[in-house]
Amino acid sequence: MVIKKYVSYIIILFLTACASPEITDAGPAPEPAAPLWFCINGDWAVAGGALVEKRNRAVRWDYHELMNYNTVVSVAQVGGFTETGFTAEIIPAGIGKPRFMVSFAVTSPKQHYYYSFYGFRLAGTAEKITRIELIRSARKDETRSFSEKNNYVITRLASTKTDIPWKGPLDCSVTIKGQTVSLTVNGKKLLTGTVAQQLTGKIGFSVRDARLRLDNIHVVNGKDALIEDDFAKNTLYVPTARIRKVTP
Amino acid sequence: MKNTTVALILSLTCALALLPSCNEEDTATELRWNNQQEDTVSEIKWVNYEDSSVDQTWSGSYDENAVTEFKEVDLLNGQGLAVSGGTTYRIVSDGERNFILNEGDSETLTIDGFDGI
Repeated sequence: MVIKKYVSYIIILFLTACASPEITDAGPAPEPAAPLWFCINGDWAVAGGALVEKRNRAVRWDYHELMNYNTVVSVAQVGGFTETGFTAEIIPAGIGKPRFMVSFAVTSPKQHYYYSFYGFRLAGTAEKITRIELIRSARKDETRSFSEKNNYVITRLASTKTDIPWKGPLDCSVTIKGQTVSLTVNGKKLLTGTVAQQLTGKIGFSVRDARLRLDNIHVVNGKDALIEDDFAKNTLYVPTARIRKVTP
Repeated sequence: MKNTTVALILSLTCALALLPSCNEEDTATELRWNNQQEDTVSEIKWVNYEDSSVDQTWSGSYDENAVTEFKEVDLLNGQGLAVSGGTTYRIVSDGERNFILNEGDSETLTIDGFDGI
């Protein structure tokens, strides 16, 4: 039984290595810097000059939608951004339905309960992105306790079908003009929708059933840079719980 | 009659010899968590780091000094993830995320502090 377990581990390790050799955390650890990104869920790390999520799957928690993905959010809240740009390399895990989401106006009524946000969600098969949606998440019942699960509702505001391959880095940007928000991928505007006025909140990146490498994130308001990160330094903060002792 | 008695004694001896090893395999490995820091923990999962599959879950409202119930785990080499305040916390000990449990033991892991911003 023990041998079977080890054989399973070896097979899983082999398949994982074959599936996505590009995303690793090999190399020297980058110099720490003031945190710009906060890990909500997953196994994120800054490595090789990028922000990477190495796990194929995400543990599902159901407290809010961002916890059902492997997610990072910006430490700072940004108001009045006109563009959020980034390069994303998304490698489907070959299991489930790969999904990637860039969220904005991410807010919480308390601590990290990020019920409220808008997001562009990309989903598809193992080979290509087949659908892009603009969604809005909101808290369902404000009288219920924060620890209660599934107390949020996701509304689809706009969607479109695509056939863009996941393969290769995708140059993405989210632009806002007035109440109109658009997603552009590799220079092509793919989806436009309407959002509320004067949005403020955090920026988030989420992935599930795929690995991810993010680089060159820039959030600007006109010509003013609000967030810029090329991940030359470690700008990721990972919350940890320390174990003091192990007793039999 | 004599042969039958000898066979019976031999069978019983073999059965008794095998009994301890059977018991060893059947003894469950149990795990519980002791929250010794001030933030309330709403959930803890014991996870396989290879594929993020969840082996066991403790749900509740674990305030300071609260101890979860013992639960049986299959995974002997796993990672702990805790939820508090709407985010996950990686459970670590001296920088290590993996914990190896002794098969058949009932172990208590004590959470001593949260590092968050």
